[in-house]
Amino acid sequence: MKIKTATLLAISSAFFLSACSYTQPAATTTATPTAAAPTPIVTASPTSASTNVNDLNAQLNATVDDGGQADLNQLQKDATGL
Amino acid sequence: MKKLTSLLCLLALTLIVASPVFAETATRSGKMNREEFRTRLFAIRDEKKKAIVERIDQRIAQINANRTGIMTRHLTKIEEILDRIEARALEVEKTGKEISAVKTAIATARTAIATAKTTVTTQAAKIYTIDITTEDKLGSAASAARTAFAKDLQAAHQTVVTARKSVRDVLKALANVVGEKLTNTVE
Repeated sequence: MKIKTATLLAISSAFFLSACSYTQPAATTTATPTAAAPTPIVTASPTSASTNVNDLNAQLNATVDDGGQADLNQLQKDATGL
Repeated sequence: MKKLTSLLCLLALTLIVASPVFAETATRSGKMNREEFRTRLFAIRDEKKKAIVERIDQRIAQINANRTGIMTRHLTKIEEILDRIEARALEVEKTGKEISAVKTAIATARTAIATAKTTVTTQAAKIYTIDITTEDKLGSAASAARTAFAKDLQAAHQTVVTARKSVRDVLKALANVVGEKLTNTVE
């Protein structure tokens, strides 16, 4: 009985140790060919540094919005049901 | 001596723990603080109404953050435009042209931008809490919070509109000096 237990213990220890020492084979990676990086397109924004009065006016126009009125209207709709 | 040190440590710890509470109290605009709000929200028996109140509470905070963020970006842009107008005006002045009207308008615009920035920063820090009392008054409580928020947000937006208009006035004054005509003005 003692011998059986000792054998089982020895076998399980061996399995355990071999499992611990197992090293995963290095993953073989195949370098996927990468497409050549696209040449960055530099788009010069003609109005960004312009001091022309109409360019500046157009940029001011771009800052006009509804001030969140649409969001506030939706908020009112969301409250229906209370 | 040891007792005194311990007492000081305890006091410092209390202050550290309590400071966020003080900060919230200073910024909240409703009658209740956030903890009370959460407690009363969970006490609402009607699950549908509870979900609506919770959603409105969250949406007010989201809209406030989004809109004040947009206003801040717009103010930065408006100020950049004013800087460029001023640079152009100074170039024009070097040619011997009279730009005192432009300079006066620039000063007005700078004040308007500063006012708008302060208002928007204050608005961004505001917290709106729906004053939950009884279930039958949820509609009016939510409406009150929404109305207060809408009023404040529109007031903050109006300061941005005023700032933009004042910069547009500078532009008009400059256009007048250089003999150019402004086209396609949106307001």
